[in-house]
This record gives sequence, structure tokens and C-alpha cells, in this order.
Amino acid sequence: MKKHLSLVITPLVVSLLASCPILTEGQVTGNAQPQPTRFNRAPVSNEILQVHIPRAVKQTLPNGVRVLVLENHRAAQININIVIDGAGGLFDPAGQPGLANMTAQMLSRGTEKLSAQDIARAIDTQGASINVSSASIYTDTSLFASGLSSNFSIWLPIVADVLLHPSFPANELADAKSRQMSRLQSQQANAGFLASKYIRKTLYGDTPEGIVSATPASTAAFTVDAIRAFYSQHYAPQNTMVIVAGDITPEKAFAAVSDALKGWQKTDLQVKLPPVKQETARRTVTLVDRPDSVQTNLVLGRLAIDRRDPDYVPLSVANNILGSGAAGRLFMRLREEKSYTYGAYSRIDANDYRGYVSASSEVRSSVTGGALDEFFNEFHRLGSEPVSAQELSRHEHSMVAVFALSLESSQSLMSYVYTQAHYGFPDDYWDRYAAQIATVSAEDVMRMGTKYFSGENMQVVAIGDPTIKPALAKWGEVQEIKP
Amino acid sequence: MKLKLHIGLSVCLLSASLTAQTKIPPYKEVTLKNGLRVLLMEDHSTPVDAIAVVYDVGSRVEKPGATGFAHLFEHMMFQGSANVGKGEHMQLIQENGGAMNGTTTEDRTNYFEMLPANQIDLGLYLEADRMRSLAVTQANLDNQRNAVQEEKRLRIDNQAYGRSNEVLQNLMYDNFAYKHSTMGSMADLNAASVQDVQKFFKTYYAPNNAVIALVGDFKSADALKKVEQYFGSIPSQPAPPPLDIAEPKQQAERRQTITDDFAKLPMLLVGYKTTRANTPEFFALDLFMSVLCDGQSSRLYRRLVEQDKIAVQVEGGMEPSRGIAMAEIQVLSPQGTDLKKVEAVIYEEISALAKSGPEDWEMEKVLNSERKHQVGTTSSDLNRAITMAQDAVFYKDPTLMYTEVKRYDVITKDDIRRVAQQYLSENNRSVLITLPKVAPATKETR
Repeated sequence: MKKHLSLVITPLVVSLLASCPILTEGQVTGNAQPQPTRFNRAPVSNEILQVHIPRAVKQTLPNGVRVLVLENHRAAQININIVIDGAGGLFDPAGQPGLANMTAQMLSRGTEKLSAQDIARAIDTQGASINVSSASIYTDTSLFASGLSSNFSIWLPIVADVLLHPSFPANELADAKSRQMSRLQSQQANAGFLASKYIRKTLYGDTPEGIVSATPASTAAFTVDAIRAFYSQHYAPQNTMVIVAGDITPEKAFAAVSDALKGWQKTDLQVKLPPVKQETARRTVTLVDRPDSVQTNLVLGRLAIDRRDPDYVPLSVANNILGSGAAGRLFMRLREEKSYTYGAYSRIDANDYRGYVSASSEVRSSVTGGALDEFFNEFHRLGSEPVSAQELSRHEHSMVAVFALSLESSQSLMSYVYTQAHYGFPDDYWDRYAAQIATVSAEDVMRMGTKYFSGENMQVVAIGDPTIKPALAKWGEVQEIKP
Repeated sequence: MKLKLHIGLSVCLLSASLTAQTKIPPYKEVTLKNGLRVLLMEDHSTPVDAIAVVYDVGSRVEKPGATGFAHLFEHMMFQGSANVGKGEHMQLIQENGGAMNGTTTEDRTNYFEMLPANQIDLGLYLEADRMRSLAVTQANLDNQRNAVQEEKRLRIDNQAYGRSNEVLQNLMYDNFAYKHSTMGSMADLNAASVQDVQKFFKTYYAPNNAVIALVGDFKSADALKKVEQYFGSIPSQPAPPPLDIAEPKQQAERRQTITDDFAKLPMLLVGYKTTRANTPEFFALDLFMSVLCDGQSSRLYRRLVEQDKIAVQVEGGMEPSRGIAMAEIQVLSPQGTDLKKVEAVIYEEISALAKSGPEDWEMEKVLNSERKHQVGTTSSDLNRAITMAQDAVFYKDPTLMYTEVKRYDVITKDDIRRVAQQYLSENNRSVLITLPKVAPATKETR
């Protein structure tokens, strides 16, 4: 189906999603720098276009739901994101991984008034859409709906019905479990899935943050009663934020959301995060066998910070230098100089709980060892050599200038207002963000490199053919896993 | 509906308005003396400019022994030119807050940038410099050949079902232009030489073989002056050699079964040879396929997934092409499913729909979906620039994205029935079955 479409680089999200990967650029310790050749003849405007991320108009409903509205009449459509904190997979009951996600999937499989097929038909016919997700590693369940402003009054009540009156029919649950069993089988062979599963497991162990997916056993055990119980305990208005963006005034949006969610009763549930995960002192090297692989998926990671940590901004700059896109040091080194890979990047995962930094690449099996050397070289260099003024300024410039592009994207703007409101940042957080980035110095970057990327604690996970094992041994005793 | 390509940078497709924007905004079309076609559309709602350059060359021009070349060449376009160093293009765009990429299909190659509005000169300069003076060295070619081979490993060789679409394409098409994959073969990629790259550049990367589209926060007169300044003196070249894309009529069903190292579930692909994109018949087939395959209210989802429970996932649609388009259905089934049953249901549903036509609500659904798609395309500057330039290259109709909805609106249920009966027949069909390497024993599923 999808027509083959080849890209020169892996597409990156344009928006600066606050909790999202931001990536790098570079040079290297000791050996030649993989710097691009710079002629500096192309005409560049040295001014950064000053843009302001719009602020949401906010209101809290009597039942505690926080409503944020971004009015924008550019297109005759409305996006709505309902974020139910405390209902994410992080709060799966012990021994029942995937229950939150199954609960979320089941919302649109029938309500007290509508069958699954009624819902699908009503939404599809309106040209609208509903997507619900509740990943195992998230604290929230997120319902995203989109449709025309002209029939908002038709599709919003369906969205509200799905959220507030799910009936969790037993036959639908049986079918959903059966389909999930097939998906679980499929993902066992997916190298990207295995990489994320085992880096999390390595960093967090058997805590909720370390579990990324349901298992066949947990899926088989899901019952309507368990799902009902999870729903009634975890879906609470006082922990919910509704972001409405698009072709509607705040007054109308408040009235519509208030009406749609008015029957939802407040509870006394408070979102309680797991205790802060402590880092293990030593490095482990994990090989996940995937026989016949022609590439090794390498992921290196270390526990780092949550999103509120004051290091977030300097770490973002350091990460941008190390691994942001095609101008990052990892990309320049591993792809443009060494020809090991199609792409190499780094990222920060930072949300409510202690997250991690990571760097990853898919390299042909024969250069697994060489690629690992380059990763560790770049980590070392980030913490031991001051970044040049030029390189630093290029990256800081990039992180600020990209704000202009986000104005084209409703979803980027929604994520900005979510970040400000969810983490309790000041109203002028995004107005001051550019200035904060500009204060990050070369010393700060080096400090971030030492604090978060030093090699001793950097965990290594490799997904690949078992024959790569000797190439990993240089970095520690290899623990081999056959999934 | 149509499986539209989600191009590159995840500029979010704002979903659309059913009150579709069928009015064509003002735009300007100019051809420079060297043959470069220029499209300019102002939109001052955000301080952003999008630039797209589409070259009329894709993998369909490749000959046996030289597959994968158009795409390898696309990579070379980021390796520097007379005034831009290796890697400098990507760095300049990124550090100035922009986004960029290039993509290759059978039918065309495109390059695009999205930039804050004060950086329009930068984007134009970079595109012009590589159109004028691409720097080709053996070291850069070797480096990018490796990058492309890793891309092939990443997307195809190391993925479950990675090969399946290529195999179906090879099974269905007879003309080499569309029979081989854009990614090409490792052996052919290894054989590519610096001389090949230089010749390809001279033949296809001329201003008279390209269209540039600008959409965004500029004044058209100023922008046109800049385009003339940067591109005007690039010499034109003789037109590329003509291309034979004639596709013989298929006489009988074709079938193939492959095993896949990484697949865990059996997958069925069914393709039909149909007709050219952007024709009334294509639009009618597109609506038919949408009723059949789109979303949880589609006929195949209801039947295969919900009712018979012999599938976990159903996708399908029309693959637009400048050659003969494929109507394709893809079904993933639980382990042990008898795919013959899945096939039988698909053919039964196609026959039923071709006989009785869509119901009223299904017509409403698919036409609304088409409108929504249109608003999505037209509400992003980058999507507009890319689509305008491409439609100018393919159909000499840069504003097709604004008028396409009207062409769908006039399609009747009878049109839909007629094209389905004409094209979605057994003799026109190619079937590819992908099985896990160690196939679980087949068992009755019901």
C-alpha cells in the first residue's frame, strides 16, 4: 500500500514538544572533527523572528475539569484533547500491565446508548475522528478528537458519551483481547519495540516506569470487572484537562465543554507518583537476540531528570548539540563521516517522574562495535571539551528560531499550553524560554555532559543477531536475552 | 481514501472543514527564460515560508542494473555544491529554525524547506546553488551509498513485511518503470559511479525539468525577483529522453507466496491494476475503496475484524500514480488463519458493493472524508507548496488540490459500481501472501 517514499533523513517533529526528543551536532575527541564544511556564503538573516506562543484562556469547571481554549479561525475545524491524569498505564495495578490501555481502548467500543459500530459510523460520517491512548509509561490517558467547527455540537456529545458512559461490553472485550494477543505476537519481532522495552527495563527494573506493554498472560486475565474498577477509580474530573483549539470562541468552548461534562462527579483521587528511581551505579550491557537481523538497534541510556528540573533547559541545549537531527554531532559522526547508519540521534524523556537521556542508532551488524565506540567518544567529548562559541550559538539559535514554525501547527500549540498548565509553570513560561536558552554557557553544556552522559553509568542495549555479542563485550559483561 | 503520502516533517495536518475551501486563493505562475516554472501563493497568517522544488524524475526512469539510482541521487543533493559545503545545507536550515527534507517516488523527486519568513533568501539560495552546481565526489558518493544501504536495511531488510510491497509491485507490473522498487537493489547501488551521478544531474536536474513553489508570508513581486536573482542564470538543458510507461493489460490472476524472517502473523495483499490517477474513473474507484476499507465503519473492517474475526487489521486504498494506479487491500490475520477464507470474504464484499453500490451514509462518509483531506492539505503552507509543485509537474494543474473535491462530488453511485465491475476483476488481480518463517499449522478458524 503505502507507496514507497524515501527520505534523506528520518523526519523529525518540527515542534519543540517540551517533553520530546531534542537532538544534536558535532565533533569528536582526539580524532578528526566530523564538522560539515562551512563556506558561509549563503545569505542568512541574523535576526531571530520574534514570535509569541499564544496563551490559552482558562476556566475551571465546578467538577474540577480545567478547560484551556486556543481560539484560531484559520481553518473551520476544532481539535480537542482531553487529558485524564492518573489514568495512564503507570497506574496499572500490580501484575496487570496493560489494564489502563485496554480500558482506554474499550471506551469507544460501546456506551450505555451506542454500540461500537454506532460510534464508528457517527464519527466517520461527520468527518470527525477520536483517538484514545494510554501508554504503559504515561501517567495519563489522552483522548484526542478532531472535526469540523460547523458540527461541533454533534460530535462533541459523542466524544463525551465515550468518555463518561462506556459500557465495556463483554463480547467487545473478548474481541479486543484476541486482537491484542496478535499484536503482542507481532511486536515480539519488532526491533524498535524491543529496544524501547529493554532500555526501560534496564533503567527502571520491575517498577511501573520499566514496563512498556501488556503481556499475553495479563491480557488473557483482563475482565470487565477489572476494567470497570480501573475506570471508576482512575477517571476523575478533578485530574482532567481539556484543551480546545480552533474555530471557536472561549465563551462558546467553555459552555460546550461544561455542558458535555456536567454529569461527571468529582472524586477524592489524587495522582500519586511512584518514588523517585535511583540509578544503579554500574553499567550493564544487554544483548536481545533477534536472529537474522541485518542491523543492530543500539540504545544507550541513563536516568536523568523530570520535566520540572532546573537542569531541563541546559540539558536540552546539550542534547541539541549532541543529537538533534541532521546537524547533530552523532549524525555527523556516525552517518556522514563513518557511514555506519541512516541516522543517529539523542533525546530526553522527561515528564512527571524521573526520566532519562538516550542515544540510538540502527547500524549494520558488522559495525556494531565501531558504532558503540563513537557513541562513547561523543559522550566523553560533550563532558570534557567546551563547545565552541559558534557551535553553541548555532544550536541555541536553532532552538529559538523554530518557534515560528510551530505557529502553523495546532497540535504543537496545544502541547505548549499543556506543558505550561500541567507542570504549573508561570503564564509567561514560553515568553521567557528563549531568554533562558540564551543564558546556557559552554560550561553549562560541559557540566550537563558530565552529569548525564558520562560513560560509567550509561546502560547499553543492543537488539540484533546473536553473532554481535563479541562486539559488545568491550563495554561490560554481556547479558544475553532471548525474548 | 487514497493512501496519501505523509510527507516528511510532521507538520501537523490540521484536520479539515467540511465547508471545504474550494475557492482558489490568488496565486501567480511564471516561467523563467530558462524554463523553470515558478508558483507563488501568499499566506500572511503565520510568519512562515515554505519552498518546494519538484524535479520531473523518479525511479521510473531507471533501467535494469541501475535501480535505486534516483533515490541515491537525492541523497547526493545534500552533499554540497559550489557555494555550500558538505552537510552545510542541513546545518543552515536547522540552525535558522527551519525544517527540510527530500523524498523520492517512482514519479518524481522533491526537496523542500520550511523557514521563518525572514529566511526566504537562505532557502532559495540553497536550492539554486545545488541546481546549478552540485559537487559530486567519490568520497561523498561512497558515504551516501552506505547511508542509502542502511536505509534499505532499516526500512525493508530488517522489518517484518518489509519486502512484501516490493514483491507485489514486481508481481503486478510488467513495465520495468513501475515494476522495480524505488529503493533498488544492493548490487545496483554498489555499481553506481561518479560518472553516472554527473550524467543523471545533467539530464534531469535542469531548471526546465523542475517546478518551484513558494507558499507563505511574502509579497509575490519580491519573491519572484529573488527567484529570478538566484535561479535565472542557471542554463537549461535538452529535454530528458521520452519514457515508455505503457502497461500491458493483465490476462489472468497472478499469485505468489513468500516467507518472512520477522513476520509473526500471516498477511494478505491483494492488488488490482486500474487506471491513471486524476481521472473520473480513478476518483470513482477511490470512493469505492474508501467505502470498502476506511476506518472501523468500513465494510471490510466490519466483516473481517468484527463479524468473522479472521483479521486484526485492514487497510486499503488507491495508490495514485502517473502510470497505472494500483487498488490495494492489506489484511493482517491472527496466527493460523486460513487466508483463503479471508480472500473469499474480500471478493464477496467487493462483489456485493459493486452490485448494489454504497449506501447513502457511506457516500456521505467518503465525500466528507475527501473534504477533510482537502482542508488538511490546504491549511499547511508546506503541504500546499509540495502539492502545488507536484500537480504542476504531473498534470500542469497546480491548484488541483482546491478543485479535486468538486470532481469527487459529481461521482454517482452508478459510476462507483461501474468502475468496480470493470477493474476489480479476477483477471486484473495480483495476490501476495506473506507467511511467518516458521508457519504455524493452519487450522480452521470458525
